[in-house]
Amino acid sequence: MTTNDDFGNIPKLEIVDMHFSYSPFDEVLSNLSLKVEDKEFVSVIGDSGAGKTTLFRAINGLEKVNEGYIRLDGYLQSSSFFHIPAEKRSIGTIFQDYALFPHLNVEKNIKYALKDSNFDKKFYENILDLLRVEGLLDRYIDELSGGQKQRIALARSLVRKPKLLLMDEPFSNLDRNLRVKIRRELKQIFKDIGSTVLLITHDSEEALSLSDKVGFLYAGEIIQFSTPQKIYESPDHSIIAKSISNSNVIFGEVSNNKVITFIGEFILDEIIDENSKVYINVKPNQLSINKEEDNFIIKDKEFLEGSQLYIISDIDSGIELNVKMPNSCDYQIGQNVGIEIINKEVNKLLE
Amino acid sequence: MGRINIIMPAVSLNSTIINKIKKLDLGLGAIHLFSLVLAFFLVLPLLYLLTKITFEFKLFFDFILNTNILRLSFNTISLILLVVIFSVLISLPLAYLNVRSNLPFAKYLTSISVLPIALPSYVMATTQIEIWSKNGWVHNFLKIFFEMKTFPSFYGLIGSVFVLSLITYPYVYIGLAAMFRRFDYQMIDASKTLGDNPFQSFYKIIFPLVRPTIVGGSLLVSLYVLSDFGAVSLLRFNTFTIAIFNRMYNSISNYGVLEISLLAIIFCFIILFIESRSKNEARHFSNSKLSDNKKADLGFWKWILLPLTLLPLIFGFILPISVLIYWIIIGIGEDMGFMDVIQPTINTLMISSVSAIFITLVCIPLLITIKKNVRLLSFFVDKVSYIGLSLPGVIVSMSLVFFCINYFDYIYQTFIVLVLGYFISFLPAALGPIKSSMSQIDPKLEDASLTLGAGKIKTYLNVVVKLASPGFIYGGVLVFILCLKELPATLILSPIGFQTLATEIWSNASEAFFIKTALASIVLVFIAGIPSYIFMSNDLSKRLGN
Repeated sequence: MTTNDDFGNIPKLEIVDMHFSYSPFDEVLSNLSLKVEDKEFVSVIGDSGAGKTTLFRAINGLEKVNEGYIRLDGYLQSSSFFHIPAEKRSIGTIFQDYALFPHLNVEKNIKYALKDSNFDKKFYENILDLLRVEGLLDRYIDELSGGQKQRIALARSLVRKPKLLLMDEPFSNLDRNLRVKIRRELKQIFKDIGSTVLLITHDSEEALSLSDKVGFLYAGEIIQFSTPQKIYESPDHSIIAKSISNSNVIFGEVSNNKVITFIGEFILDEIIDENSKVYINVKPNQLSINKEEDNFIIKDKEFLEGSQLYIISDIDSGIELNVKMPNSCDYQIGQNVGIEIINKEVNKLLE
Repeated sequence: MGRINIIMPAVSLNSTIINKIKKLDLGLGAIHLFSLVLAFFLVLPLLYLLTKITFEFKLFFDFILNTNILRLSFNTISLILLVVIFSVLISLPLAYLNVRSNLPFAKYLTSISVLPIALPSYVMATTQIEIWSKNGWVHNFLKIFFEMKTFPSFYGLIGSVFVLSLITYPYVYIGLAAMFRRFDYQMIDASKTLGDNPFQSFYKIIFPLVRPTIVGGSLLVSLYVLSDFGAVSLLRFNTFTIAIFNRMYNSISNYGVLEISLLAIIFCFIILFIESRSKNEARHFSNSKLSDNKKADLGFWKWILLPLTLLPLIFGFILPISVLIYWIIIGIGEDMGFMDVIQPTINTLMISSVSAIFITLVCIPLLITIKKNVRLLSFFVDKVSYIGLSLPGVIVSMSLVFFCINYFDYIYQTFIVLVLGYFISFLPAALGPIKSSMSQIDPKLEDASLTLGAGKIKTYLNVVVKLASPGFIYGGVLVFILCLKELPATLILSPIGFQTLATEIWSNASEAFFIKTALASIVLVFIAGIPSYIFMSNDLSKRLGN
């Protein structure tokens, strides 16, 4: 039997080289690897079609994998020749629409999976208390608000003391204010209980604000797995740069350890062969608008918290750039402007 | 001072009464009075029946223990149970395959699977008798190719179950199709992740969620079977409705009519009680969200299942219509007097339009009284409006006959009593769509009209009734169609010599002149059956979110 003591630090969840397809020649997940350590909060971000739902279903055992393996606490859960069904895995699952049972009241929903053998009264009461659901026990699901439903779904999963809590877009049905409030509350609750959580979501803001680590899922593969700060500040891949931080992916050529682009020179954070062609990540706050020139035109502007994002286009080439400016600036759509580089340090991106 | 003290209350009392009289809206009062009269007409015949039976309470108990009555009850119960079982067995796989699988042409099949609803039960019965009875199509085929001489009789329980199952399965099917479309399959996944094996998922989650829909549909079917007169009378299967009719018209005394009616009413109430219990149980289940789960891939099986899913449609619609066409072709050759159908068609259209207009119009005062919330009156009017929904046409008509003979002799066997019969039976059908379109009107519009100086009645007519006019039209057309097809009330309450398409078909069919029924049946299917189908398939596509 494997234990943490035998091998030192065994990850809570480990996925290695997993492949999954619904039909031959149509691979949904390929070569996917992911590690979630004990008591860690990890998120997987991906756009629609990236394979999020399939990953979610493979981890909780609703789908069988074709290749690779999934381990929980070191124990094999899935591989090409082995499969522990969903009902036997110790994974608490929060579905996107919560999947609460409408024919049962709140108490029966929460106690659904509890038997005499696994009923820990103190822990149960503690969870009800933490999630503030005691007053709702007699209600039916159609009598609950979105936020209450989410707390019930969470309580239903947590009272089983799962080894891992797996959540599929759990905040998507809540309005924005409630989402932010509940997010903060949950972070604290998970910390208090010491839960290990894997969140699967399309919302990068949500993932970055909650997680210890973030994986970016693209075309069935995790293309970057690191801390929120790293993935935001220096993404490895142009897709991540565009998706997460409104970054500009600009093409350039290396000369004297500098990258020459159509808007000017940048300095790379690594040494690269002379004359090689690269894509670099230029964040909107590394650029600034200047009134004196007129080779760009303002196409659109969006208000962000505390600043404005201008979408400007090069008049000659039509290439669009995102530029972040303080709120005090007031440029008009259609106005001709120039561009200035205020921070030249950039990282190279994989295409 | 003392004098003033004595006078003051008197003055204030007088002024209060005057103010009250001033405030009394005479128009509104007249409407409430009219509604009350209508409500009494809805409830009095039935009350009369019940009070008559109560006086003979001991007799009633002696009577229901009579072996004939026990046999009659057994017949009715077994017919109801068998039809319910078969209609569920037909509609459960049909609804699942049409809505939740990749069956070819499922999109079209979903809607045309309810086509048997287009045939009135007596037309379905005549055509099925032609196909399945001795010397019918199937027997002749077996005689020619397999020299089969003996053939089981189609009359009685078997034929009634077959015919009524084909007519009633759409009632269960529609509910199930809508349920499958909205069933959130994520719940099955959730139950698995919470430790359920497939068997536990089924009985803890799937079964409790599907059960109310099956129970709801089955209760509709039970009420239909309990009320049916046309099919069982032609198939010679003795149920409550047939016994009541026969004892009224084919026996010297009316012995037992009241008792059997009471028994049938008790059955209705039992069904309604179960229905309200099941609705109560299912009150938290309503899922308005359409589910977007993937459809089941049937693989090669879809080509085997496709012809099977077509069977109810073939037996319930295509074959009966073929029989009617076959009869018409033969009838033309044999000069079966098809012109005789003209007068009944005119009669049917006339009495149905008069009734539909009357019933739709009286909804206005009734709804004003219900809406204005005049304490007990509104409650009473609201409740008695639905009395016809659950009672068989035979019982409604029979109670009207007894009531009229004793109290309103001069309207007996006039059109008034026939329209009254339709009114009791079909008022709920008109009220449903009207109420639902009224509920969608923004109450602020009414307030706006009142604040602009229009009176209550003017506001009601100009704002509420006008905005709810689609509901009035829908309700009116629905009642019109129901009147076109109605058989038992028309048979019992029509003035002597007044024939409608329904009574024409029934009387020809009961004398086995089947070919003579063909043209009337086709006309009825086109003017009443197909519109009923359109109503039902529209309702279905709405519920499926198409």
